[in-house]
Amino acid sequence: MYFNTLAYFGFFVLTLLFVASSRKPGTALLLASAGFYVVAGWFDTALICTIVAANWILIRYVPNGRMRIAIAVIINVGILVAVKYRVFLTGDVSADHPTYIDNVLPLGISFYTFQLLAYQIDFTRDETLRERRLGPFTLFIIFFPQLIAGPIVRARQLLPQIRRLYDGKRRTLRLYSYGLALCTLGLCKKVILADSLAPLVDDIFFFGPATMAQAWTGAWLFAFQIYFDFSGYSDIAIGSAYLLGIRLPQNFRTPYLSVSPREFWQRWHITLSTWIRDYLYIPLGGAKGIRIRQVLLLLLVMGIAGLWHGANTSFIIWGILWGCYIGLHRLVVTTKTLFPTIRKMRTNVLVRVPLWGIHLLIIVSLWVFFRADSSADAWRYLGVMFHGPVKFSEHAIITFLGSICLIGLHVLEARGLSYISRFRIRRWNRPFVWGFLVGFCLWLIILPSYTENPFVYFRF
Amino acid sequence: MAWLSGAVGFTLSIVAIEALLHGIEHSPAWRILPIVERELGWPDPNRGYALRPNQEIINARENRSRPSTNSFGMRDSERSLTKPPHTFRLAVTGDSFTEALQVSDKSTFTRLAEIALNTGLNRKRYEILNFGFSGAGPVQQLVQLHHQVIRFNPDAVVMIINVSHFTGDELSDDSLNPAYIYNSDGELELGYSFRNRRSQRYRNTLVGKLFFLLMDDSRVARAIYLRYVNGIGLAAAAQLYDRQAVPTCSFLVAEIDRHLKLWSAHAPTPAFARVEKFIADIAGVRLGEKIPVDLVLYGIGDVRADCVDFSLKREALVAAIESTLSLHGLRLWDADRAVRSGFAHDNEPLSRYYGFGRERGVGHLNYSGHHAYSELLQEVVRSLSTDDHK
Repeated sequence: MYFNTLAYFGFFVLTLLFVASSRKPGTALLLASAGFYVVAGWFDTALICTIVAANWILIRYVPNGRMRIAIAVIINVGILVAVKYRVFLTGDVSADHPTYIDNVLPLGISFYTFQLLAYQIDFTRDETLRERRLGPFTLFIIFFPQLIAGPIVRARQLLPQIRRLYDGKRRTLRLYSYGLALCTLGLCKKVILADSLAPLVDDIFFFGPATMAQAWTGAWLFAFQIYFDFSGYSDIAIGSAYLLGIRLPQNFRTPYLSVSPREFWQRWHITLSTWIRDYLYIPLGGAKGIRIRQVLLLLLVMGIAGLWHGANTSFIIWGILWGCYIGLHRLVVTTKTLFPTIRKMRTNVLVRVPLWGIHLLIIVSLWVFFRADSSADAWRYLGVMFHGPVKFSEHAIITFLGSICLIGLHVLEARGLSYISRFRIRRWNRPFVWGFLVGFCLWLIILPSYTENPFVYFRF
Repeated sequence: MAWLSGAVGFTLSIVAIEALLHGIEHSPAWRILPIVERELGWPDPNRGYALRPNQEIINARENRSRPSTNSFGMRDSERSLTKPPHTFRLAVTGDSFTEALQVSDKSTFTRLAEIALNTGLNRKRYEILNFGFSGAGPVQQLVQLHHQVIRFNPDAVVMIINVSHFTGDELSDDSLNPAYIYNSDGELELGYSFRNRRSQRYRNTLVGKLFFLLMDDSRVARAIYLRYVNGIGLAAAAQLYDRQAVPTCSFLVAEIDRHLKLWSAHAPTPAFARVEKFIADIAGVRLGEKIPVDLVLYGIGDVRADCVDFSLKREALVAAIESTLSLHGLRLWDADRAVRSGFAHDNEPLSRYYGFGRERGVGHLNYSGHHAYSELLQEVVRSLSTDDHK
């Protein structure tokens, strides 16, 4: 059930009424979440039930310690590898008799696996609440707004709110306007922007770019398509949760306004990058040790981050190249002789703007690996980006100028979602605004095509 | 009070979405962002459907463009009924290929041909009038000749027809547009049962006028109507066609056998009787109005070196059509062959002249296709404007 469909709108309204009128809002929300997931299919439902049950048994009956983390990793990562990476690792295509899992990736498995792993590790480290009741624990995993594609929530952020629901303490309606505003923003990003850019990007990547301008335009448009698509999804997820009285963490903060790779990952898919930092990078040594070790660790961690997105070498290369970029940037910034000069220069606007431009072009180039069907296609595409024929047509120039305008939208979004703006939206919490925003959401859902345009990140 | 306030907010959201959709249309973003496709034509009591005068829409299917119509309801620039002096005026009728909503006004093959013919120091000027409209089958074009084209006093007429229209039910089914039906005396005559359709009956009533007003001016109403009728409210991604495989040799042979059966064996008899009636009616226009009429047929199929059987049957079909037309003094132009011999390289598929983006290969003429058809049309005009032919 995609967020940009009438089915979700109807389901959400019914859930809202159900939760609001129920004496046990926690249980009501759990039932709604279970119903939401059942639509995905019985195999997906059986799998998530098995995984949730296995993790709950671990928490209840296996003593706290490294052994439990090891078992949790084996179970959760083992299942993820079995369903997502089996074909990639074994090369068994089973073309003649493909099974269900050869064709379909269980809904949200990459996300809820990471969420469960984080919980198991935090639980062992005594960094989170111990939830021994099956209901709240299950709701923590399958809470429907963030089940399919994140944000990947930590137990210490979500469990206390779920417990409050189970204790019958619902939040008041004071954040309805803010939740609805986020849903409207997310739908605008998805329906008006991402779905409009998608056919242009698909055309360029389907045939391969003919000229350098076309190649850059395609990569640039994809950078914004995936941003609008994924951040739009996240906005709807966070907005939906707000309406149900639960706050989810922010997942995007206008990432293309960053000026360094480190800052980019602090603004892009924030919950995934902090997960990788906290549960992979730092436990494996982080920035400790000699420089070569640090760089190798970066490559390993970013390679795993790439692999998490999909069982394809192009995703791994995408991750490794990001690792190289971060490593190179860190090398330049931390070199003692250069550092004071660079630090002084980076505050200067005349230096900061070109640095931002170069950084943006690197991000756009790296996205090619994310979008191309294979790594060979990606290298070919990059070849045209840097060595292709230079030829400008009227249409290409118009598209190129339009592409530049997208960064303007990004700046507008940064301003519109500033702290002060959010505070103002929360103060407009009145029926007139609710009616307006509900209407706007409804039109954005009703008017587009019946053909469903799934969110890009649903396939991960 | 809270409910009332909420209802006012909800109503205002309609105004906001209207403003947004109108805003997109009037900004450069119309090329990319979602728009609501308006209708360029409306129900016509003579042809079933006709283009409305002085309209400009945004076409989102296959390729984004802003096609417009002139004050006569033609997909053309403004023209006058009186022919300018020293001008050879050619009228081109046709279906959506000729209408060409997928490209800008200045890129249609009729316009390209006119510009090319008028380039140079030649004192003689050429006018090529585009009368194409979507779904125009042979009979609709014939009716259009009588009701619209003749008024412009053209020197010649070119009818561009898809060959499959003769084997389909376009000539016999009058439920959507005029067609040949048998009267009580067993003779073929034009039938207009489509006039009983609700759209035809209500067009000039107050309800019909209000409906068109709403469809023209309210993007939300139009989008809801479109979503109800064909499932697409906002046209963001224009993907009408599924990518098709190159047709196999046996498929092509089976297709051309149907045409051969009609044009060579004259079977089924009622179908060929309709074809003969159509050709006779066109010849009637030629003789009555003293205007040469040529037929350009497309869709016969590409000449395929890898499919000898098809190529042989193709030649036989073209010969059969030519002989049937020549009996009535009409000429045939084989569009697919002209494009193949004039443009395409030996192994290059003709599909490159059709469709846009990922859908290249299927659909209507793309920019290259219009250039190819423009060359063909120039050749036709040169031939028609010579004294020999007259």
